[in-house]
Amino acid sequence: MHNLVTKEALEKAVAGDHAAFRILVEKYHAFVFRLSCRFLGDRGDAQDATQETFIRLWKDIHRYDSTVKLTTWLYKITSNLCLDVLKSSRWKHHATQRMMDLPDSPDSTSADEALLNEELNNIVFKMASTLTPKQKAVFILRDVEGLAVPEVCAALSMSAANVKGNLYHARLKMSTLLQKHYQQTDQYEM
Amino acid sequence: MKCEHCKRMIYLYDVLDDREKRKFNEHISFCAACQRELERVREMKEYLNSISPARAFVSAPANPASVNQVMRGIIDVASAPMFIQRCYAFLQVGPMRYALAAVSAVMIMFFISEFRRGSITKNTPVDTRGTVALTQDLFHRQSRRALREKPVARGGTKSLFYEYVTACREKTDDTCADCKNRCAKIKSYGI
Repeated sequence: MHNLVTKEALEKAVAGDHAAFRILVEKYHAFVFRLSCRFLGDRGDAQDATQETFIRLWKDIHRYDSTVKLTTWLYKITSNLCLDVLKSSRWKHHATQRMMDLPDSPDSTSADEALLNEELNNIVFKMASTLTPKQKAVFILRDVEGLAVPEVCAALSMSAANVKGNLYHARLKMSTLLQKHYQQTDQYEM
Repeated sequence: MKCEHCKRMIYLYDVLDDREKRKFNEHISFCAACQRELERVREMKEYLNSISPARAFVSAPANPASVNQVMRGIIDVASAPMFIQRCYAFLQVGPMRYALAAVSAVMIMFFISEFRRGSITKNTPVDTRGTVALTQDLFHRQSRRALREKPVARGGTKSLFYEYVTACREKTDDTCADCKNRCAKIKSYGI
């Protein structure tokens, strides 16, 4: 039922219907915002990226291929947009010590669980900020979002070898950082 | 396979192709050090799997204020003129449009009158370096001139003639009968 509504809204939005496009924005806003937060680590920047993602979607919606899922297309637009931001000199200049400020998970059953999830997100995405933009993009799409390698290749317009190369370096760095973090935590608890 | 080669595969254990997987499994079955490393990477992967992917938030309630803000941006973009429209926006002003039409008309009249006088075609200096690329008309006139001048060793005249010898050798099909005769004559000089 929900998919039918989306399909209908999509068809109307392709024809230039603003009200139909609003339905799509309402449905995918949380997804795009959350993905942008993971890339950029800052609510304000993520809001800007979300707005820009939907503007690009609106501009290019006439080129939408109905055989591709809308989420796949949104992954591509958002990732490329965030990658551009991460590569920009403005970002490099202001990237010093951004605190992760991610929204709570809506499926958290308790306050404790939400807190735990938030802490986990903070640790992982703070560590991911030490990766290069490409490594970060590959890591988020493959290891956090769980996309298959061909999907990551399509989203980032990279070859499979390039994706694997970046994934290797990202995992190596993340594994070292996580290990270090847990060694420090254990010492602190003891 | 050596452990150092296996290390890369450990970190990519879930994205290996069949051939790599076979080699990797062979090595990992007897190497305890690599098994420990693989366990560590798997633990990290499981740890990351506990983070919900962003697509789990499709259809999650969105903040109405944020949605409104996005829609305002969309409406602004939709109503904003396109780049090409912005470039020609000055034409929307009536007097500007008439002025541009008048300038265009004057320029067209100027070119027609110059063309009739022949100053554009007759007196325009011809760059003979690109002879082969000359139009049929120019080739016709220039080949006639070149033949008239013959291979006299007189500076520019000589070089013009020699250029036409080359042009005649390369130009075969699209010449008129006169040009063909001239070319045959030019070729007969044996240069």
